[in-house]
Amino acid sequence: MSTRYLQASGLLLIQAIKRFNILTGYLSAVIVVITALIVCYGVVMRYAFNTPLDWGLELSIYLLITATFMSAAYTQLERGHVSIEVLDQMMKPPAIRWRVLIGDVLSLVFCAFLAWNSWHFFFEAFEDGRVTDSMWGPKLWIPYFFMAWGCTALSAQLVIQIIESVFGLKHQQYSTAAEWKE
Amino acid sequence: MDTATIGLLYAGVTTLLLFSGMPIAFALGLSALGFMAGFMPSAHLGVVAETVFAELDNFTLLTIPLFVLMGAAIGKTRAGADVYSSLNAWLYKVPGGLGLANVFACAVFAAMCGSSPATCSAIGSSGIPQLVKRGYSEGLATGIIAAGGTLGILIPPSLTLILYGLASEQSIGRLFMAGIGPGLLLILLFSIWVMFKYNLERRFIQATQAKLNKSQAEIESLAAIEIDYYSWSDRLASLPRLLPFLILIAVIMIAMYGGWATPSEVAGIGATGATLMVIVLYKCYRLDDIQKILSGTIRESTMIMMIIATSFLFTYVMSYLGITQASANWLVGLGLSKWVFFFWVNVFLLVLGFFLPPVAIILMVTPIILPTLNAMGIDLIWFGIVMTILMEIGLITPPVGLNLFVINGIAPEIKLKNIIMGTLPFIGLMFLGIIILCVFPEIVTWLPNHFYGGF
Repeated sequence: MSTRYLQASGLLLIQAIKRFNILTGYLSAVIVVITALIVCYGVVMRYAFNTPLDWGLELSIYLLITATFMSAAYTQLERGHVSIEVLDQMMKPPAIRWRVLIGDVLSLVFCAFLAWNSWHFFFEAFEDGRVTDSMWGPKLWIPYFFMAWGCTALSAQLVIQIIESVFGLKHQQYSTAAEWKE
Repeated sequence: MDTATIGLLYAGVTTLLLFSGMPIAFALGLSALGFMAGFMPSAHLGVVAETVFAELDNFTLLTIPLFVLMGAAIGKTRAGADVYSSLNAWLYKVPGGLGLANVFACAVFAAMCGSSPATCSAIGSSGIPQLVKRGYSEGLATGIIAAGGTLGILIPPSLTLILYGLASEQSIGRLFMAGIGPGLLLILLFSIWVMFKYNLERRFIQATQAKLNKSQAEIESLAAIEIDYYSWSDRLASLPRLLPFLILIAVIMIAMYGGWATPSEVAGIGATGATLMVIVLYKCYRLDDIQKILSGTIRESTMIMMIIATSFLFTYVMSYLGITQASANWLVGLGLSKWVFFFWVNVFLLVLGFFLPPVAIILMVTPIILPTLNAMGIDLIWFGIVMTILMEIGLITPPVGLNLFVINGIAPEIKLKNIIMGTLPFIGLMFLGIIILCVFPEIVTWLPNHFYGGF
């Protein structure tokens, strides 16, 4: 009974993380749209009202860095990070499964390191209260935080994909887990 | 270990990781990380995140997600079909007019988005079935779209040129301006070929029919397969559909070349304009439509941005370990003449283009060959355009020609082999284009020098 319970809650956790990654993916896209609006607003203010924004540029850059990292997990979930798949044409399905698994593990090594390093980077900036040297001078820990978070979510997504390919999980099993909960 | 050995090892490990099938972004990052750990002081490992962040903290990079948004918004509508059918109404009388309409539609679309696959799928999804229905061979029909789509990264705005500008520290405005002439040249070459080939195919059909002793009238009707007729009022009626796009292109051009706005600002204006246009004119306000635009945008933009982030890390390691300098010295030391060097660089880029997407090639290779190009007195703007055409060729050649697979996706009934055969003549035309640019470099340099002043 308890192993079944563990299994089901594990599956539900995986499901929750995936949903969350999809949500942040869409949020990131909305951030890109907002950035486009901010850039336009900056141009209008400069030409029509002769008052250039002193925060427009920096804010748009940080928004886009945030959007990039926050959607990295979603892009991974959709297998949207391009890779060279030439060898797949010569390999049999079981070999391809191994290749994908190895690729995911190697990706995880890099992403987990980047996540760990970004958290470190974030805490440093937070403790020192670092700001940029522009007029506006926003706190740097804010974009650093999103970078660290995004990399962590990306690593979590990779862990999920590794678990799924090791245990051969399919959608069916997720729905059984959902039913079991009810 | 000496630099040459480390360099070769770095190249070897990276190639191995890339071919393991892991995402290119992470392969480059992991390779950089490994060599940092192995050959560089440990302090560097501690600031990996800082290095990545500092490189992304760049105003020019804003252009990428914004231009991607612009392309995705327009690409998700019927806009491609509209541009195309309007052009067809104007060109239908010209022999091979439908093919020309497709080439021009690709060019117009390319001027609104910076990506080749997006151009391919926007025009091809309505263009290919129409072409085949009107008697074009499958190969010619798909070749037109595959090759026409590659104009997407040559005609500004172009993501590839932006990346080259970043890697080579050249002005994006100047590069965009430089892309126009060669873009027109390729359009011209493609058009001539399409007209020639269409007439050839038509004559072949007629000849075959004549052999079967059909009456002249029958031959005519069989060869034409389906005959269109557009009156002047049809043509004029089709204009309002084109107008919003022409206005958007005009706004982008004026804002950029009038010195009104930076490329990033132009991207912002273009993205907002395109999104508004798509929502108001094409009534894409259903949650479903918006969702498609959003997910398409973020996936492509994040994919490119992650490759940019990690390739910065990759080239940082390369330059710290002296690999960049050593290979540049080696290249200069070979004592090749300018054109021999240029030829081998072309071959090298072409081979890479078979396997890697343009973004990765440009960011990885440019730092290595740049010093040599400089030393040989090759114009960097001109070279950027040649490099972009080579990247275009990579997009329509197997094994990873993105455009081929996009077309395979939108026209699954056409065999991949036919698509590949159909694109071959266009690859030849692109090489011809490069040769023409070598003989007449003014096609590239005249416009930017005229606007921005010569060097």
